[in-house]
Amino acid sequence: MLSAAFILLISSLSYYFIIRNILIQEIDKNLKVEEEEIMDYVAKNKILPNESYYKGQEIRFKKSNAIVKRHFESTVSPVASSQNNEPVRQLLFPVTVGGELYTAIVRKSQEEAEDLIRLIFFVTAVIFILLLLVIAFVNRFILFKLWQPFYNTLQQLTSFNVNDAHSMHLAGSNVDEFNELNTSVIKMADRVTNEFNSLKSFTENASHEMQTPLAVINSKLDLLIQHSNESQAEQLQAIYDSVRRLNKLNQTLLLLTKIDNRLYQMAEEINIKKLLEQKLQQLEDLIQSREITVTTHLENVRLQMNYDLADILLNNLLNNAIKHNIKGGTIECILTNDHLLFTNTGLANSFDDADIFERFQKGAHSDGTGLGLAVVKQICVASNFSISYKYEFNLHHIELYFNRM
Amino acid sequence: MKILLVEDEVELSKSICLYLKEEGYVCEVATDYTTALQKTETYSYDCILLDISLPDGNGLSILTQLKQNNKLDGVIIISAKNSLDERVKGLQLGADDYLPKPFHLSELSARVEAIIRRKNYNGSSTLKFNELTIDTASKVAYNNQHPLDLTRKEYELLLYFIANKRKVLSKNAIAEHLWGDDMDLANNYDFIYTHIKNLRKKLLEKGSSDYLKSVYGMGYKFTDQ
Repeated sequence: MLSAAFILLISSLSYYFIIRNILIQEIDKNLKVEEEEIMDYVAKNKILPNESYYKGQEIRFKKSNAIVKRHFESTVSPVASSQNNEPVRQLLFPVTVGGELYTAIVRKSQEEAEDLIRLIFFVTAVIFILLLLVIAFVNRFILFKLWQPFYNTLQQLTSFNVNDAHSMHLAGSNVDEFNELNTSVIKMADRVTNEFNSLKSFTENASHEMQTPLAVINSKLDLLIQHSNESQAEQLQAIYDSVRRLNKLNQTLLLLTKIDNRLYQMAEEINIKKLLEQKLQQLEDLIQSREITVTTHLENVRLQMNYDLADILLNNLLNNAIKHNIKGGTIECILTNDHLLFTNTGLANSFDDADIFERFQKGAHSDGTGLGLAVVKQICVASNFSISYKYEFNLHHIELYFNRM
Repeated sequence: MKILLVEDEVELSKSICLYLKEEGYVCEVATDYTTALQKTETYSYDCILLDISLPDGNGLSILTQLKQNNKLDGVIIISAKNSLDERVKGLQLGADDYLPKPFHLSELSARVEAIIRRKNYNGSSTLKFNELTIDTASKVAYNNQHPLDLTRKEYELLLYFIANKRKVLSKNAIAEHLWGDDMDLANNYDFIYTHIKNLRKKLLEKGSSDYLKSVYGMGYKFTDQ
């Protein structure tokens, strides 16, 4: 559009100058004819013709001392027909009559030429504007219509979700290139969906395959302890704990994959306060056994989110605050309409604070899976919450912002 | 009491059957879909333990068949998947319970006991162990008709012990039964000890025998032997 305007500007400018030149040459030719007529008249009659003014053409004679060089010039001078100065084209040439030297001036008004140029310029300008409008129209409507199949495809690509069971619907077009594009896009989408599904079923199958041997080990342990003796008790307990941890790890990895794959889509209204109080009640024994004091300031907050995720989120946050606490420590829990803050006493981390939400990041003495807060983070991402962590004055702070619309 | 175990993992089915037999149940095993279907069509069971993924079919269709034939067998789904969808689907199809693998045998046994009790006595039955009686409808335990003043956790604990009488229950199994999966145990079982201690004290106060035995750091056993 801009380049079109530029080209039009350049061409109209050169157009203007060319026309102007041609017109001036035309005037010059007339002036020359006049000059010849004057010379003929002088040669024939030996006197100067009368000074005259006729149809914008003027003839004057001036006595001069030196021979003036014959030349054309464009200048501005008052014209007899009007009081104003007008642009004129004039030819000056020497004439000798009876030994006297005169300068003859033949001038012709350029007014007509200027008028013509103005007219031409006006017409060009109108054409120019019309052309711009047409180009704009073509761009907006015809090109848009032409590219419609492309925009359709683009829109389908943007809204493409591998979780959607049904594949893309791309309308055919009469442009071969677009059809080719659509075919490729559909092929690619199918491939991605297939890969995604096989990955999903792989994760599920892997988890399934792991659960069965775990179940066997667990059941054998349950039988073993029926007839075990004291010396084996410690080993058996260690195996129990390891199996439990392995199971937890397996479940959590599966959960992370599910959140990543956005398999927890269904949202409902959750009363966070109620859920949190419920969780505190459930974990009461654990809290008491560690002699932890819990203080809460909970507002009645309702959030639109997936119930399972809300449950896991609060559970992990609370378990985290209990586990990484000190005996006789405190937990403070503040819930307001836009944020949730957990503050608990505890020792400093043995790792960089910035990495606290990384997977498998855990303290030197932690026997957890190292996935609890990674799950929290993942749930926050999935639910569009922001989360931050800091350690100050021997207190761990984990703060969640709900980012309500 | 007859139980059918539909499970393709041989070692797991051996463990389950052994444990249930010691609890006084008769346990039959079907390791594939076809056998399971034959057995459920021919006989009646008090409880069917159903694995969903079988080598030659889906356990859920056995469930559908049972319900179509108006069989009253209690059904517990034991599945390795532990997916919410599957649980909901199973329960909608008429299963009585859903237990994800891996589970403790004591947990399975307690659930089997609960299902059979519910099926046979419409849920209003009592559970007896010598002089102890538990009325599961009103959730009250008695020692020779004297009601015991138990907290909810202590009541559940007692029920769990009696459903697994004379068996050693690991601390893990007890903790998971009482507090479920949500609690991050962190190898800290102190709080279980508190509940056990309180339960034992209350039982002894009402003149019950001392049935609750600690098994050298391993767990606990409720036994009269």
